[in-house]
Amino acid sequence: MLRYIIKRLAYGLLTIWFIATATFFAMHAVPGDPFNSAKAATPQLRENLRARYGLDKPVGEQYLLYLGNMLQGDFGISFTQENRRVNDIIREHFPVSAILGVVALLIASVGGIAGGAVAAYWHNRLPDRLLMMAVVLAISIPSFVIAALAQLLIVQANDLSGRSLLPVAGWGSLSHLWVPALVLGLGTMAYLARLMRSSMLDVMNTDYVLTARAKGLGTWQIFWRHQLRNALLPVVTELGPTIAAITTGGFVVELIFAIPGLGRYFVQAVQQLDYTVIMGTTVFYGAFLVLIVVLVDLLYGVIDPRIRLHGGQR
Amino acid sequence: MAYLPADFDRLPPQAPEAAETLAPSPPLWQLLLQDMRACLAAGVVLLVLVMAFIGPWLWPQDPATQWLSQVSSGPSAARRVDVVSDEFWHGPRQNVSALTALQATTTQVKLAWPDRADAMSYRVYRNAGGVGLGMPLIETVKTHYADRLQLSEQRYRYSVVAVRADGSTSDPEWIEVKPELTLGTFEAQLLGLDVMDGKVSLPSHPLGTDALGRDMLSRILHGAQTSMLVGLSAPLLFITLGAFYGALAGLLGGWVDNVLMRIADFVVALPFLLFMILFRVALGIESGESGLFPMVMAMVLLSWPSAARLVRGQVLQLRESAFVMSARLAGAGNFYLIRRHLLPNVLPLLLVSLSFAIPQAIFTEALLSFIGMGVVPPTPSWGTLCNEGIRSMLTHPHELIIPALAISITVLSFNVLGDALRDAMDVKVRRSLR
Amino acid sequence: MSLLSVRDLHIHIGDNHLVRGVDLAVERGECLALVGESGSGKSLTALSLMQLLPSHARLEHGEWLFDGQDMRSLDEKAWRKVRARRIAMVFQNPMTALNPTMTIGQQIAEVICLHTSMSRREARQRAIDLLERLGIVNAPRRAKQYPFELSGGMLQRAVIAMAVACGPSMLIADEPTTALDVTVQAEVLALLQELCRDEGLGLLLITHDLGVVEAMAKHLAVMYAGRIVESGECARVLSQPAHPYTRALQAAMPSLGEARESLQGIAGTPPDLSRQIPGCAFAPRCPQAMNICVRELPQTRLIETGQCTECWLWEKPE
Ligand SMILES: Nc1ncnc2c1ncn2[C@@H]1O[C@H](COP(=O)(O)OP(=O)(O)OP(=O)(O)O)[C@@H](O)[C@H]1O
Ligand code: SF4
Ligand SMILES: [Mg+2]
Repeated sequence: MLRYIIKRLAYGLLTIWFIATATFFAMHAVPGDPFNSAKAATPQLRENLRARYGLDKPVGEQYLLYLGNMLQGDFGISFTQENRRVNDIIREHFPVSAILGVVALLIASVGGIAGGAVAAYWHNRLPDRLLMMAVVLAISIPSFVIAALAQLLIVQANDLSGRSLLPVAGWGSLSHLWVPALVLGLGTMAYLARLMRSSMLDVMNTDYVLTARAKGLGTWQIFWRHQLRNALLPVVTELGPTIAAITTGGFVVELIFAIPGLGRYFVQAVQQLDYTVIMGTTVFYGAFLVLIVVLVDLLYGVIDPRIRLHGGQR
Repeated sequence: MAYLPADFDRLPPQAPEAAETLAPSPPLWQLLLQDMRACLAAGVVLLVLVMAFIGPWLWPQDPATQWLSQVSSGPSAARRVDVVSDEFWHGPRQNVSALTALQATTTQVKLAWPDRADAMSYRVYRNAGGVGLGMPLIETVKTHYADRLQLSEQRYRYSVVAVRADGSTSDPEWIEVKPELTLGTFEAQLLGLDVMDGKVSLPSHPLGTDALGRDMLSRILHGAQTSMLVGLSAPLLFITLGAFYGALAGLLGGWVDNVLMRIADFVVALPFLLFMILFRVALGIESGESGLFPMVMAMVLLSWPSAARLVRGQVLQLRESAFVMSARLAGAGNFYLIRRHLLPNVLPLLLVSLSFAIPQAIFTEALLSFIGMGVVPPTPSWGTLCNEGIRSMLTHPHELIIPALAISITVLSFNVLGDALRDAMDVKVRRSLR
Repeated sequence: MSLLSVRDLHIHIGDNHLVRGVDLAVERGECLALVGESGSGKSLTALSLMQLLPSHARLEHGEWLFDGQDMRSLDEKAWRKVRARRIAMVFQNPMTALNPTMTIGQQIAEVICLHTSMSRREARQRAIDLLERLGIVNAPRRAKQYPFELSGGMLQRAVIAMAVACGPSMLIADEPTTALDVTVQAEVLALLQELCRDEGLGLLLITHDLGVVEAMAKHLAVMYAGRIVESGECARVLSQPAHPYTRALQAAMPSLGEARESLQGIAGTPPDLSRQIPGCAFAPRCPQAMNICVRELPQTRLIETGQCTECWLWEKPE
């Protein structure tokens, strides 16, 4: 097991290195100079700026410098807000995204797992049909549309009731959190519900569930003790991609609901071509997601004894 | 009960029942035809594709033309409207006895009111729809005013309040008008419209216009072209590319395979949306370009590994299967093996991947364009339409809802089609296993 | 009185009439073997005896007595008290019949906790004792292991331990050895036989192996296309089969020790069970079929050698 963990971690680090490298060279392929005429009025100023950001050095040296800094966890200074370090930006804005993401993930997992289980229990009957219809709808409507419609709905509801039931946008209190988190989790919820339904259907047809019935266990006892855990195994493997989807989905939701998270900051940085911020956040997000995938793998080992004890291949 | 002895005669020996020959499983499309959902979805998909490519020709309005007089208007029919002078108005010829609208058109609403002895000046207000005073327009010493502020064909309530020397105000006098649609001479000229008998013909806008006065239908149709172009070309490209890559890895095997698949693993590890944005920035766009090409490129760069893995898996499986061994022994060449054994197995799988990759690509395009990292604004795409629509969402929700519906219905149809295709394949696999 | 007696059992699933009037009787401390081709409805019959059929199956009984009690009136709640406590089941494949994410010990303790007032701890201990009694060495360690860590033979012992943990008076074993290595098959069967004898268990043993039947069973029922075509004392049925199908089965499945060269399959395929079959279901494949056979269902009749059978040959006027 320990060997397995080390192997997974080493592979994760290699992947992070690859992401960092890809990011670096992608940004260096950007045509033209990052300092446009608006920022650097005179050639002299431009030279100074280039020197300040180390852009006057050969690419190889820049790359090594960049890797070195990154190893020390230093992502440099923002291009557009010259007094802010990228690290500070991440430290300040990531927790907001993290809270939103975690709540969205919770809503999505609980809703998806419960929905999938319900659909499987009423397989091919009305609740199943309705849920699966909702699922197809939810994965067919872009998140930004759902977000906008949710806002429209809040505005209408506030208008109708004559009070401010829910804030339309912004951040800072619990009431700001629910709607964006729900919107963010909706697509993932639908996806998980579908996954859970099919894995639950598989589990319901297994011999060990029949054994459990033959033991005299009731429906709920069978569900909690025998079906849930086994049905969750395939769902857990999808947790990595799920978290990635929620993380990147956060960009749009944060943008629309004006939530000061890292995602919104990233999109703004991209729109303003703030190179260091783009590079820093990309590598940060990349590393974060790789780490999540590794963690999910290890978690999978915890809930599936076959992996925990044999380590390695499923 | 009595039986006849003949009843107990031997049954004439029957021809042994022919072992039930397994009906060959019907081709995929036949299975699909039996599925109502699939037919419906396929119909919608076809319609969208047809409309995307011949729609702009069927509905030849220019998606960039701005009908300034019809900003954010609802559906309207084709009609002839007056062209009125938009010259500055110097006031009425005669005095009026009460607040009057001398002209009420979307170009100008000309108001005149009687002079009051105690008035120092007058304040003019406009309220769109409601009852109160509404928005103050001007404070003037004259007894007339022309409102030229982007009027639309709806009820307005104008109020005039006299201000006395001591600063106190009179009760408001008001009228309600509903301006008639007209074009100013300047706009008519700008749009290059033929003026006949002081009138011009305006085309219909079945879906209304957007916040810049552009025809929604034509924008949706042109947007469909962009979205479907991305949605089809990127998946086709990366699935083909991935398929060749995977086939190569599988056929060559050994360390080459190892290296190739490691590369694929790394590409899979890149967070998709982040790198879509990054590559899009890196590939850059010159001014005047639509941004389509960098987006397709970025998608191809990031999405090929899934098809590669799929095809490689199939190739490896086939290489080991018995019937390929025997075919090899029988002297079949590589090309024959690929054509006879690999393609029939792989093509349906690729088809299913494709049917799920297309809605995904449409989604990605919309999302990136929505955050301004996709197609560049003057080019319409469903994503940019949503982006523009969301700004006027609160007052004119149709500008968001129409493109959103277009995306959702299309993606829904592709998803349903993909599901049906996969189900049909499952049936086929199950039948062939039996 | 028999431990279990069932008359005229019918099972429909969808359009298929899969079990078509089965009569069975299992005695205390004795083994009844049920044999028949694949798809003849043996497993369905077994499941129906514990009310474990899938929910879309329709079940009809003429009579259904267990231990003197009419089982037709039981509701699901009452059935939960019957399962494992009074009737228990051993499935064909122990690899899939055990939950892969729970330890053996947990799974045995679970059933004990459910049906007795024992604490979790006591139940664990009892599970270990049971495993030990059923011949698993190093039971305390084995109890802490997961199914994938144990061999098939050990797993089947664990499944049997689970089945007998609450002292049922009847055991249904559906092909308990088919999925096992030949070497452990005999051990598992011996174990079942021993339980049967020592605890006075009634055993319904479903198998394909006539050799096993000969060694284990007192009575034998032969099933074809959802009907029992012949039943009676095992020795009688096997030595003087009264029904052509039994003979064909014997020819197709030579008993242990007999030379295998006579092995021959039964020609033809079983009938389509979604259709009505007016006559004998075996007629299309029967070497002795007569005109009447395809028209009318033969009566069940007790013949001189002591077995019951339904075949027109026995009605034939001399
Ligand atoms: N859940 C089900 N739904 C529909 N048909 C079923 C179901 N379970 C069993 N059957 C059908 O019932 C028939 C009898 O099945 P059963 O499992 O009882 O056969 P069996 O005698 O146990 O065969 P085997 O020796 O292969 O175990 C089969 O033809 C099978 O196709
Ligand atoms: S009834 Fe007729 S067909 Fe059926 S087994 Fe007897 S002889 Fe054969
Ligand atoms: Mg069976």
